[in-house]
Amino acid sequence: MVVYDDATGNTHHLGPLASRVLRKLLDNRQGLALEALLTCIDDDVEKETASASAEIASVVDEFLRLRLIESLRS
Amino acid sequence: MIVGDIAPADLRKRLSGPGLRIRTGPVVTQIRSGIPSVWAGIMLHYGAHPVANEREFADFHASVESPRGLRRWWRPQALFRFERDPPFNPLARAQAFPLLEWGLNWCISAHCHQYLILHAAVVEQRGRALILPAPPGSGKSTLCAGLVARGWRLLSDELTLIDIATGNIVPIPRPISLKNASIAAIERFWPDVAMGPIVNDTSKGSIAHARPPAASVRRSRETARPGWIVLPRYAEGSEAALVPVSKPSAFMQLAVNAFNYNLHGRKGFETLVKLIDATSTHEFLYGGELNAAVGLFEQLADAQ
Repeated sequence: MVVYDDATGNTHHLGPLASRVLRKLLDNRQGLALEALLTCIDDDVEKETASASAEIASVVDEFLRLRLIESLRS
Repeated sequence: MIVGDIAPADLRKRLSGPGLRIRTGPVVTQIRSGIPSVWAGIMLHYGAHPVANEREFADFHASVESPRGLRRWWRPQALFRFERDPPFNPLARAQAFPLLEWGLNWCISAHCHQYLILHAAVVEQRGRALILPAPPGSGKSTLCAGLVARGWRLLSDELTLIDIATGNIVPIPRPISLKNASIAAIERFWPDVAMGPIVNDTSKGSIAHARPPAASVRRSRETARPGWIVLPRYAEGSEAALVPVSKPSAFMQLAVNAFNYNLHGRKGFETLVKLIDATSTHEFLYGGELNAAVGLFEQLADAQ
């Protein structure tokens, strides 16, 4: 998946897992708790849960760093 | 009137005097030069191009002249000027015609931002454009010349202009620039080619230009729908093979090979998305065997 960020003008090429994470977040525009995101993505990921969760958390961190998403926690 | 209608003596007079306005695709350029190799290059390569009226607006005013001073006689040089300013350093005078071609490429890629511009060769068959985006040395101009030799219409060997409103490809047929071993390869493959003189010791090695077919120049106003994006990769000795490539991967390679993708912002992204959606995307491994390569592209076109 390729996404364009209106805020920065940057284009990002996302791998399969990052694409899945972003789609889930786009489907839940009101926001999604990390635990809920891990649960719904884990269902799709054919890996043992602990490793998949770490990868998903890392994708979320990367999205935060790129400012593609924002944290609703104060 | 086309450039070929002008008598050589008049052409030289106009080029060394007020300038000659040549229409290449959507662009009119007023060219001036007092250098004989530039006159010869224009006569050979631009004979089929329309001459624009003196009163018609010229998008660019370009010249290639010898700089003033000692360099006029001692190791003579050629200097490209755009609107009177030289955007590049002068080169040896023997490189005057390639310098004009590089300068014209620069005029378009640096200024024609009404288009999304890809660094890509582009040819057309049955209304559909085959886009070959690639960095220098990947063999795109050789492939482009090989396909043109087999009847594909030349839209450009260097600059793919995408109309942002329609997504169609706007032709800008100009001489095909060939380098080093490609020159002899194309002369063998395309016996009827009108090839200009070989200019040695340029920054890109030896350069020669192949004349664009008159039929391609005459159809300069006919845009083409995008059909295929093929990313050529030259690997000496490898067998010609077309391999499907994912659309996101092709997208990123197009974005990297675009001159003004970032300048267009969201519009640029949407234009590339439209282009990718409308085309089939492939990587092309190529070891220099032009017959096999052109055959594969013909199969690709026939399969549509």
